[in-house]
Amino acid sequence: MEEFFESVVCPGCGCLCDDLDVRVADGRVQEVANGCTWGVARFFLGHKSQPKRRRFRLEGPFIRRQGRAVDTDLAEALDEAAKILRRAQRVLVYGLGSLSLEAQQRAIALARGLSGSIEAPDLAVYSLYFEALKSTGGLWCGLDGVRDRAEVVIFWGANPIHSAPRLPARYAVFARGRFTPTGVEERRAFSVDIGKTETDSFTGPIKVSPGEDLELARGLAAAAGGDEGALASLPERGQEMFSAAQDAEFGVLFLGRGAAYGPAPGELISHLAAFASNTGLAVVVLSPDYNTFGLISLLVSQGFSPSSLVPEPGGSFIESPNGYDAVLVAGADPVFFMSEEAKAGLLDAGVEVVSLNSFTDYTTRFARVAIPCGLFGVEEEGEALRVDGALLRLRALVPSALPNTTEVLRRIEEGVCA
Amino acid sequence: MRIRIENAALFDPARGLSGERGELFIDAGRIVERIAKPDLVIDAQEGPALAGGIELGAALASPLMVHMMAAGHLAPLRDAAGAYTRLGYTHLNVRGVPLWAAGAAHYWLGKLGALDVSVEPLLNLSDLDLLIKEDGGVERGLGHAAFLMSAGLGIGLSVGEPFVRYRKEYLSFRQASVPECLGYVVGLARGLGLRLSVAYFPELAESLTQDIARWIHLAGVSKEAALDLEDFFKAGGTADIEVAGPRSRLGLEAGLFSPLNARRGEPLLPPDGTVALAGLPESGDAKTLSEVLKGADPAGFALATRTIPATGLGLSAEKGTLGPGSVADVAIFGPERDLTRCRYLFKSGVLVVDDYQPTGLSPETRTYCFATDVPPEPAGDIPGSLRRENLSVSHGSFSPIKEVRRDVGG
Ligand code: SF4
Repeated sequence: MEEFFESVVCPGCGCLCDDLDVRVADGRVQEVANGCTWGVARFFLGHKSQPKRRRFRLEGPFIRRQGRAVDTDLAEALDEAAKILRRAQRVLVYGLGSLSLEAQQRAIALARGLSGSIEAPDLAVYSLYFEALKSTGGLWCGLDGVRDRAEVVIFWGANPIHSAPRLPARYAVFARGRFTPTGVEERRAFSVDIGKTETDSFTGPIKVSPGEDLELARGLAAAAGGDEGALASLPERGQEMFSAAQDAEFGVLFLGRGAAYGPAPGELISHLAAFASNTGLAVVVLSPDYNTFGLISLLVSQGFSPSSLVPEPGGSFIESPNGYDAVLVAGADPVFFMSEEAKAGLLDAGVEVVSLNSFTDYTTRFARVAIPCGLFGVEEEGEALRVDGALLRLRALVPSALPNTTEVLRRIEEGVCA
Repeated sequence: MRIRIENAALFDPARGLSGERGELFIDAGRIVERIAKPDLVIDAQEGPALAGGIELGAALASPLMVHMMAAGHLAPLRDAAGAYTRLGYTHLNVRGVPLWAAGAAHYWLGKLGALDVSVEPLLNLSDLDLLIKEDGGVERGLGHAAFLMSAGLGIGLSVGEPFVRYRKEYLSFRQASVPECLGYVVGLARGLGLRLSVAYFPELAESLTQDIARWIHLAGVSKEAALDLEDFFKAGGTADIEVAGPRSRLGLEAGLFSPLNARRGEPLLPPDGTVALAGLPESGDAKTLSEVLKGADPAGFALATRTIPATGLGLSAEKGTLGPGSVADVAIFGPERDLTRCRYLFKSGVLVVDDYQPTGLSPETRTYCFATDVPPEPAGDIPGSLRRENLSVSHGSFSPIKEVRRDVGG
C-alpha cells in the first residue's frame, strides 16, 4: 500500500521545515521532496552528515555482561537500566535535544527524581545567552521575521550549512521576504568563525584565531555602548559588520556552538548579547538538534537556572566522563566526540552507560544497557519547538516495532522509583 | 458536588453587590440559586466572596515567556500559575501572540492546572495595510481576522499598534493613520461581532468616540489616560492598566513598528471603577503586590479583576460574576480582607485552595475560543513560512475547547 504525506515536519535540525512531502510504501519511506540532504537522510535512516554512510539499526535491547553484549528482552533491559540508575550516586542524563517535548519532559523528571544533572550539546550556548539577558536585555524574533525584515544577518560560531542547512535559503540570507523583496541583495550577511567554512561563500567572513573572537566581541560591545575608540580598533570587516548592524532597521545574530568553545564563553556571549541589545539585533541560537529550544524551554519553565546548565570549563561529559557513576544517554552520541583519553577514562572509571537509541553508534559500544527506540518524526510522533519557539507536530509515517521513547523513559522512571 | 458558602460578604459589581452578607450555592460546577442538601458547607466568616479573577494580559505562555523566566522577570511556570491561584484567579488570557507562536502559547497554557485559558492572537495592521483604505477592505480583512482566530484558537484579536508606520520611505504610501486604523478595526469588530483589544497609544485618545466604544478594549492605558476616558467608559468601552514590575529590556520583533516589550507598565493602582488590572500576579513578590493592592477595597478589586475583564473578553454571561448560571469560579478571602491571599478558591466547583493551602485537586478547565461564521481566509502570503495545516493549532496538550459567541456588552 502506498501513502502520501504532505507538509511533513522534518526532524533534521532546529529549523523543523514543515514543507516536506513524503511517499511511503511497504512500510518504508520511498521518496522525500523538498528537504535538504540532511533532512532526507533522516527519513531514509541515514547519517545526517554523511548521508551515504550505512547506519545500522539497534534491533533489540542488550545488556553487556563481561564485556559482551547479550541480547535480552525489553523488560529485563528496563529493569537493569533502572537498577543502574538507582544505585548510582552521581547520575547524568545526556542528550535529549533530539527527543519530543513529551519525552524530554519525562527525561527531566527522571533526572530530577535521581537528583542527577542534565547536559546536552548546545545547552551551554542557550544558557550563557539567557544568563547574559539578565544584565543586557535582548530582542527575539520568529524566523518569519528574519525572512521578512532582516537586513543584516550575522552567524557567530554558527555554520548553518552544518547546523540548519536550509536556513540561509528559507529565511536568513537568500529568502525573499515581504520587506526584503530581492532577498540577498537587500541583506548584508557576515560570519565569524575560527576555520574556513561553507558559510564563507555567501557571507563576509571574519576569521579569528582562538582568543581573538573574545577581543572582537568585547570591541563590538564597547562600540555599541558608544566607545568610539573601541570602534576604531576593530578590524576593518568588524567595523563594517558593526556599521551594518547599527544602520539596519532590523537584523539577527545567530549564535552557534562555536560561541561556547573558547576559554571564556560566558564573557564572549555576554559581550555579544550587549552588542546585539544595543544595536537592536535579535538573537537566535542555532542548534543541529531539532528540539534543543524545547529542552531549554522546559528546563527554564521548570525553574532550572540557566547557569546551572553550563558545565565547568573542561567538565563536560565529553571532556571528563569519569565524573559520574551512571549516564543515561538519549538521542545523542557523546562518545563519538570523545578523545581516546576520555574514552579510556570512561572505561577506567566504570561509568555505567544506559543508551536509548535508534541506531548502533559509538555510545552503544560503551553501553552497559542499550534499548532501541523509534525515530521521532519518522516512526514516532511528538511535538517540538523550532529555534524561534514555534510549536510543530512531528508525525509517525511508518510503523515501527521498536518501543516508544517516552514510554521507555516512563518505565525506567517507574523502575527507579519502585 | 453541592456546596453552600455561607456568611460571605458578596462583591459582584455586575449584580450591584458591594459587600452584602449572603450565601452562594454551587452544583455541578455552576453557581445555582439554591440547593437543599449540600455536601460541603464553607463558612466565609464575613470574608469577601468574589467571582474568580480574570487575567487579561499574562506574560505566562507569551512568546517571551522563556526569556523572561531565564532573565528572572517571571517565576517558573508552576510557581507563576500557583501565584494566580493563591490570588483567587481562575482564568488567564494571553494577548498579542503572533500566529506562529500560538501553538506554543496553547502548549504552555495546557500546563497551568486550575486555570481556564484563552489567547488573543496578534493582529498586525501592516499585514492589511493595502486594505485599510480600500473600499470593501473591511470585508476582505474579516476573513483574515477569522483566519487568525481559527488558526490560533483565539478568543479574539489583539491589535498591536493602532497605526501602520514604516521606516522605509518607499513604503510611506502604505502607511495608515490612527483614525483610519481605528475605523478599520471597529469595522472588523462589528463584522465579527466581538470586541477587539487595541494596545493603547496616547494618539488614540482623540479618536475614541462614544459610538465605537463597545467594540474596543484598550490594553495598557496609563493611569492619567484612564482618568480622561470617562465618556469612553460610559459608552461601554473597557480598558486595562498593566500593573507590571520593573520595566524589562526584553522585546519581541513581531513585525510591528516597535518591538513588543515584555512589560510596559509601572506598579499602579487603577482609578476605582474604570479600568481592569492586567499582569497582576506576575508583578513579582508579595511586597509589590501588597503595594499595588494597598487601599484597594474588594468592590474596586472585583471590578478591576472580574467584571471589567469578563466584559473585555466578552465572557460576562458566564464569568466575572456570582450570578446563577455562571461558572462556579469563586474566590473567598479571609475576614481580614487581605486581597493578596485567597482563603478558599473554587474552580468550576472544585475546591483548589482550602484555608490558604492548595488542595492539589484538578478541576475541569477550558480553553475558550471564539466561534464565528465568517469563513477564514488569510490575506496575501500572511501565514508566513509555515504551511497552513501546520500553523493551525489543532494539537497540543490544551484543556477541552469551549467555543463561545462573545457578548460585546455595553
Ligand atoms: S534544514 Fe533542517 S529541518 Fe530543514 S530539511 Fe534540512 S535538516 Fe530538515
